[in-house]
Amino acid sequence: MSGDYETADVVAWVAGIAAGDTAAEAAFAAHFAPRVRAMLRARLRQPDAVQDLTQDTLVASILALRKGQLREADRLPAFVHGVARNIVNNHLRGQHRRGESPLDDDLAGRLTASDSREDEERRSLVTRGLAAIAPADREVLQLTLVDGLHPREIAQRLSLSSDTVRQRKTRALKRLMAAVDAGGREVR
Amino acid sequence: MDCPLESGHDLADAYIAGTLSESDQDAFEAHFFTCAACLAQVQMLQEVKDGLERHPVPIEAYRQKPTTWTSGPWLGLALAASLIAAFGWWWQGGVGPAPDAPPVAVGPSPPTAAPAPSTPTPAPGATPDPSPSPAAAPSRRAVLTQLALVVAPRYVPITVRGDAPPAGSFDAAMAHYVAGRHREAAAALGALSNAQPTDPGIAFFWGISELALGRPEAARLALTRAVAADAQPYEDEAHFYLAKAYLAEDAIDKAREELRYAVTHEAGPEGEAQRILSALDRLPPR
Repeated sequence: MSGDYETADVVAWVAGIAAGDTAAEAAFAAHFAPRVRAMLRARLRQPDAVQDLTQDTLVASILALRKGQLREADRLPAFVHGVARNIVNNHLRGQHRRGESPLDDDLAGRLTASDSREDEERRSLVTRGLAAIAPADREVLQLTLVDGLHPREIAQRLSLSSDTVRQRKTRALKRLMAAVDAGGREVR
Repeated sequence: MDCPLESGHDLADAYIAGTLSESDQDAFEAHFFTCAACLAQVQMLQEVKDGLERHPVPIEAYRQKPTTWTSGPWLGLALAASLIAAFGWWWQGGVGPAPDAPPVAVGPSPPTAAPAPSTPTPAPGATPDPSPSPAAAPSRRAVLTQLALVVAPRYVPITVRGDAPPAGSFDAAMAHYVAGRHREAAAALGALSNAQPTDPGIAFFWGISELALGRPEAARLALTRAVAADAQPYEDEAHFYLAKAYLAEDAIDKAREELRYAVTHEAGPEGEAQRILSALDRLPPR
């Protein structure tokens, strides 16, 4: 499940994992893997580390849930976010050592590749959509996302108005999102 | 945190760019752990950022192009030059033959079956008549030929691959397209589209290739598929190029309809659809 957050699901996962229900673990992992991966991609620039640390986060979270360490089930998203943040901070400080924690090999194996197909589909759709967008619009996206410039700074650099910059960015993103949505519908 | 998408304070751009403060970064992450819409936006922007990092737009070089009246370089300078030349020639009374299309412009071949009988063809080097008669105005067909000109939209393959694309693949077809081999591109993309008629990207670039070859009927088939696929950015852009196909066929009412759609949806080069609509208002009668 990777759709909207449902409190009932979360409560069921926490209870199920504490009771040793592997189906609940799988549902938990399928739901949170994309979120953790998105977070780690933003914080790290090493694709291999993203994959490994996503797995470590899911395993560490499940092991804690098996021990009943989360007392408020509806705080599960914040709990997983916190685990991921600790793991990535330790990794950045060079203090995270994979394999130190008592990883369940079977559990780790089951979690490794979750969501990769969806990622590939999205990547393909964005790639095609991006290639078909006008260079002027791609230029604004690049200055925004890669260079981290504010619309006002982009406007100065390109001799445009800030409104024009915002319009181009909005138009480009709207079209890309529509391309991804349409592709997703087709795939499903 | 209120959903940034609903409150209008979009944080995803800054999050992906890495320019949020640590506290804002934490807060936004905690939010998209519970918000599927924001998660989807983050995931898409990450792919966009990765794609742009692999193949960045050469911004400085691009800005040096004198795009004074169009910021939509889909057609680029060649179309601008062709239209300016066409209208200049038209307004000046059509002295001499129609101007040649710029070398990078592609489009339907100049009409051979319906030449303008009243247009004198001066000898090479001859001085144009300074007071051309009204009879020297360009034919309707010649004007439409100019308006129907297209420059194939630039396609920049994003995916990095070490080997040549496999034969029969979209990437292989687009290698012909990028190289300007529109006949080969049209054949390959047409075959792919027939096998995958709901793929909007294949249909769109097939349509462009057919336009480049001067085959508006085939272009309409392809572009209609791109529209029917209901996927952006191809759907909106396909309407603009459908107008080009109709212009090539002198189907003015249908061309106007597509151009109005393009104006409403900001499809095609910036302002181009509106300029063509205005030009159609002055089109010589049949």
